[in-house]
Amino acid sequence: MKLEDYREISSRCSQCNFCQASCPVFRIKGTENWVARNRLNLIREVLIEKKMEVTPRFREILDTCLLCTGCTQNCSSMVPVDEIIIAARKELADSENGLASMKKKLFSGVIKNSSAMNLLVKAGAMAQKLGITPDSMPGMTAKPFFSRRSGTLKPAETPRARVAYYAGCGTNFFYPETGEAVSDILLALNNEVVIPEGLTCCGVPLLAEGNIDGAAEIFRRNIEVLAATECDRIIMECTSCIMMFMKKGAKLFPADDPIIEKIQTVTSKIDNALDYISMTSGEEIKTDALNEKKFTYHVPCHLNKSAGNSENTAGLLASLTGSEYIPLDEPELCCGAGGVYYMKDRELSETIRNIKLMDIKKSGASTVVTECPMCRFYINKGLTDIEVIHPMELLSRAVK
Amino acid sequence: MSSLGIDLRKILSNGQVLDEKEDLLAYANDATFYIASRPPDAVAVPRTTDEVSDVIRYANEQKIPVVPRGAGSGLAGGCTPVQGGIVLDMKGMNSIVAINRNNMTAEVEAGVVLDRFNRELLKQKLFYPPDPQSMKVCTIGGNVATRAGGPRGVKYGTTERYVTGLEVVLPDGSIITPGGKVVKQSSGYDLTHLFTGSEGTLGVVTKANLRLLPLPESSTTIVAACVSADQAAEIVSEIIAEGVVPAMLEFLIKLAVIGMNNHIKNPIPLSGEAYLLMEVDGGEAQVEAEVRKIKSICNGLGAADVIIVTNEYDSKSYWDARSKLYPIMMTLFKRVITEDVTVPRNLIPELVRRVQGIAASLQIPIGLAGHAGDGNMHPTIMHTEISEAFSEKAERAVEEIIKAGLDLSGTISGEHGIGIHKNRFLEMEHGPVQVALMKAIKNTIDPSGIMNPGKIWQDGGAL
Repeated sequence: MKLEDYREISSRCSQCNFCQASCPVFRIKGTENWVARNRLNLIREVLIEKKMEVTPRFREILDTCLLCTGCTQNCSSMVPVDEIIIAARKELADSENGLASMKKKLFSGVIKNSSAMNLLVKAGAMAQKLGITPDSMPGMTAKPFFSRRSGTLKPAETPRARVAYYAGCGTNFFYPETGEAVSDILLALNNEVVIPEGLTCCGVPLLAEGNIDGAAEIFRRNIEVLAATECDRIIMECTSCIMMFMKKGAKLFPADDPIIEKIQTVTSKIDNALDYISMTSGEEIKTDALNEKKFTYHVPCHLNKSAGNSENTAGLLASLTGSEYIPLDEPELCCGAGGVYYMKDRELSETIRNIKLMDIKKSGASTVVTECPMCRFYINKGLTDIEVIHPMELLSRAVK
Repeated sequence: MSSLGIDLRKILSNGQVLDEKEDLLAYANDATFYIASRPPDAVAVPRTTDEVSDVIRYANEQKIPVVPRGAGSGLAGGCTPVQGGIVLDMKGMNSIVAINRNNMTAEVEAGVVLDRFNRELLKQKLFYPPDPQSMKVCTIGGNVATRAGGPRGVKYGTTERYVTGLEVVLPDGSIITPGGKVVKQSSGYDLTHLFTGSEGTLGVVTKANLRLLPLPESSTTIVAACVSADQAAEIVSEIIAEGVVPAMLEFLIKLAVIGMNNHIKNPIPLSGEAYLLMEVDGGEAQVEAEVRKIKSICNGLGAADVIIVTNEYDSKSYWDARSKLYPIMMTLFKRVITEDVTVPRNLIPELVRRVQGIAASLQIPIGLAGHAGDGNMHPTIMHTEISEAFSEKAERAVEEIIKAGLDLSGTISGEHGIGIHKNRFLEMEHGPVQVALMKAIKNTIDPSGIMNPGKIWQDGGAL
């Protein structure tokens, strides 16, 4: 994922400017300097061809991107804008000094050097040091998922398959109930579930900062653990983790690195939890009627970049009896969180979120379903009187 | 800060002026970066007609070029600031002022994005037909400036047919409102349609009154796979001659369909060398009858396959991929130059033959993918490499295509405008007397020549 690798591919940009249609930042700011096309053109002029200097404004334009991948998903010339921005951020970070980068490196270091077990403690201390107020982060659970469920969980009957479950950090630290729902349903459908030890953050937060080397290091660790785990399939529930494994991971290493083969083996087994369940046992799922409830669905930005399909989740919602599924006008619009972007640029994030919240209010739904823990936190923080949950939790309530 | 930036901030608020070079780069080009790319000296983002007037009056006093801009998605270099100056980013004026169902008209500001306008109309079962394929981003102002159109041109015509009135800021800052909300007018010269299509060279369109139609009751998409480009062209001619008027009638070479299929979940079956992608709309009985008729014409002329697309999801994905054809072609070639010649519809088979002849004699790949139903074929010069030698051949191809179009009683531009891409051919089409007349009009309205200089005319339009 070096900027140099993208020189050729970025010249594929036809300059059609269609990326205006899918950029939440442009939608708020309204001028073309904030559109993917200009970001690409600037990266070419400043970092590739070096015809312009690195300036604070250049940095600002590069940093004011939530990496929602809206432009990339909709680019008909198939330019991977998000990866080019990440690669450019790395180049900048490499040449950067000063407090801002110190903070970044500190943050990265915590994630990079921590096992899941002590990541929580360190992250808490870190947040205090960086002046992140408790209410700007999801509340950390006293009992993370990995201390609630671990080892090999056996179903009541002879298992149909042995699956490994990779729980994302959001599930481990903020919403362990998601992990419980995933493992409960997998067990109820006769899967043996193994929760491997030694897994850690997928690396997406590091990538967003342009810390490609750090992301590569922990990604390698995760791949080694998963490759050594005996299992038929690997189940994940966080759409950003899945994107990292399926679309980004292999690009972090040179083509001749032996890890590439292991990445291929591991990713060939990965399923989005909901897809796995509907593929292997869709017919068998018996659901009770949910109590009169109106649901809607926010599509996480990274879902359609990963192994998943928003139509499956929408289909699930529509099929649950006793519930009414009301689609949003713009289900795929970014919620404004952008991972932890909302901590850096509160005003922009909240303005983007307001569009989402208006859409949700208009739907009249009392529950919002979404796969991403950061979307969940951020939407719920803006609308405290509604419930935001992972689709697997919803399913676990309905499964007999 | 530049003195221009300081002056503009006396007229507009700080947030409405951009003059850092990182911001200006975003306004250096449209979708044809290879034709022209030069950042402006400042970008002004007016929010009201009065603000536009203030900026223009200042620019006129200072003799600073003014380049109005919509989404910057044009295909002729029309909104590129080739002589620098001020770009007026009209996207800041984006209010849908009124949708008047009872009069079947709407009043919208220039910066309203076509797609958003359509979505609002759909809620009331109303229909604004012009459909330039950049509709997800392009603005009504840009559409009016270029007389933009798209696949629906065959049945519904292009933007100018729907403009009943405008609000325009003239180069001296005065504000005029030619035309109005009436759907007919026989009073004085038709200034409304003088400014429509003037590509920002006479003034700035700030608002438009647009005619609307009721949403058609139903529609059906048809794909005809043809054994050759010639056969596809013959079928188009026959459909028109038979009096069938499809809402859309698109000609696509196989390569275009291959590119589109990468973006279509259930791909179009590849059973031919050229394709016609069509839609028929109207009342249900009428649609059914026209579908039957088209099918029998296609079969009668020997089409390899005729598919009536019954799944709405599929037909939507076909048309969606069609709208992205320009950027899609960039995944297959290094550069793509889209021509815009338009010929009388009975001469489409002849145009297809001539373009194929040009491609063969210059040894250069030229694709055909266009709105065949209205004679607007978009021959597309596909660059397999970026080199001086190739550019020279491409240049010659452009010239020969344009000559072929004119020779067949056509026009050099059906819907993209002249911009700077085709300004050297203007006189070839209109002749010296008409061009002199056009220049006289330009000089009367814009004597200082500040409005979008370098466009339409190479010399700026001075007499």
